[in-house]
Amino acid sequence: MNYFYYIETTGPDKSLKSRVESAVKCEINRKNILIRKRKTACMSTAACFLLFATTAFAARSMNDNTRVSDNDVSASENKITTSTAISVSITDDVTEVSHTEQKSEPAGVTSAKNLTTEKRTKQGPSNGAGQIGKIKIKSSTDGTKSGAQKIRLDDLVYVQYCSNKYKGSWGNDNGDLVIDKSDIGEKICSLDTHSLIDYGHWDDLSAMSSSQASKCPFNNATVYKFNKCKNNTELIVKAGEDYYLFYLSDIARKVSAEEIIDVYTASNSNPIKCISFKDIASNRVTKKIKDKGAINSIVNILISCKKNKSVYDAISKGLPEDTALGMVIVLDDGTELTVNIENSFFNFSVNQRNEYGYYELSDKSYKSLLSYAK
Amino acid sequence: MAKICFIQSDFDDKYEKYSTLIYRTAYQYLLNVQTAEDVTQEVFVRLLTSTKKFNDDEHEKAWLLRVTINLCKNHLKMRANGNIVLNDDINLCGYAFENLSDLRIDMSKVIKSLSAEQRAVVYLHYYEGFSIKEISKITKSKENTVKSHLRRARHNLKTIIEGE
Repeated sequence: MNYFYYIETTGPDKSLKSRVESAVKCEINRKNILIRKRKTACMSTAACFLLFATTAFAARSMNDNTRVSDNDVSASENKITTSTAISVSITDDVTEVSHTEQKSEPAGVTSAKNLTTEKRTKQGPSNGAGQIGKIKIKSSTDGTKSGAQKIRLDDLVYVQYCSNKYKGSWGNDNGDLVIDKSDIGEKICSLDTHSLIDYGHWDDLSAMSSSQASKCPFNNATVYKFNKCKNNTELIVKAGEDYYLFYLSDIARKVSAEEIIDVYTASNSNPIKCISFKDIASNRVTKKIKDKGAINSIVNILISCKKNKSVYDAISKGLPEDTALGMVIVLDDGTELTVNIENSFFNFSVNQRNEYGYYELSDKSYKSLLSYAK
Repeated sequence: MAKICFIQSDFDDKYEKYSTLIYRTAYQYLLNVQTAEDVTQEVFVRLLTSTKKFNDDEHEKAWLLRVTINLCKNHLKMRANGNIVLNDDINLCGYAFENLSDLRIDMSKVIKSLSAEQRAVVYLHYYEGFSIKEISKITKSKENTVKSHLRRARHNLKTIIEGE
């Protein structure tokens, strides 16, 4: 018997096929069950995760509503108020109660930790502060101790808000400002010696020295966008636990009228809603223009005017500045750009480095503007 | 991961094509009918539940032989470790030689004189027609090792046959 013959006589038994077939089927079945279990497990895990996330979110929301804690924690529930002063700050409820004359119910309130939700709700101010997710911007005369602060972010210079009443349209009739937490937008930067402007050098916008900055309360403060303000002409600055409002005051370079309007209209994403003319003496609105065509015409007149240094020089030498006409350009987001119109020139409320940005106004243009004001 | 389906025609084709090859290879390695059948079954289970894609039939064939040899080696290891109690009396006649004459005894003696590796290499080289290079790839050993197995197998076979 040769080897080939021997090999050929070796072969699997006929019954092996059925055994193999059943084994293969059994294994496929087992694997499919495993796959199905794995899929179910994945779906269960995903469902658990969703449930967990939802629960955590709900718990967090409830905590926001009910938790009373130390200053650190309560900062998130704080309220920002503006009233009689310049600075805008966020303080917790207790701080507000103890520092504000308006709140006359401190009885029984000894510390923030002792406040219950119920008490806090009762003791909270009635003008919206204390509501869930609300921040009351509270003004304080403390902010004026060292004068308003100016900060510089690239070419744009902002000044700490310093009028008795909130200037923009955000505030209520009392000049108080209550914003939602969600109105505080994304972080822009942190302030340092380069961005803090020396109090004594507002005109030339010189930065603070390191020693000055170390004493400045805004050193290392964080700048956030103000979500209500589409054109970023107003910003929120957080220094320590306090929040302040800054608005655009200067542009650190020479710009045309068109560029200034472009900043406020955020390149047309924040269009002009209306233009108001005011009587300067009484600060009373004499006419409000909402017609798009008229608005465009007025804007075209403004942007056609060129800056003329001789006007600035003349004014610097003592030319009387009797503003003939006050014009307020109201943007879609509520921010305003004030334009002071004279017989032969106009200027914006936004300054420019080392000068005030006077734009020469021809007689024809002046008369056109006057016709819109009447 | 997609669900695995059993396709009868696919199974039939593959069984027809590879069952003998796998069984014979396993049998040459193990010299045990039951174990060779177990290995064959295991190889088919792996083939039909695997998601592996083969370039062509040769690729598939080489993969099957590789798996077969690995499984056989595992069986031998288990046997060496005493995990499997086998009947020492390896019955070559169990299924294949039942109708053969006395000559089968001679061949069984001859086959038993070879080691497992030698038997597998002899089978793959002389019967299945694989080259030494191909066998070295399948068994994952050096070509010289395969050559050595073949040379020693031939020597053993010659010695036994001449002695008889």
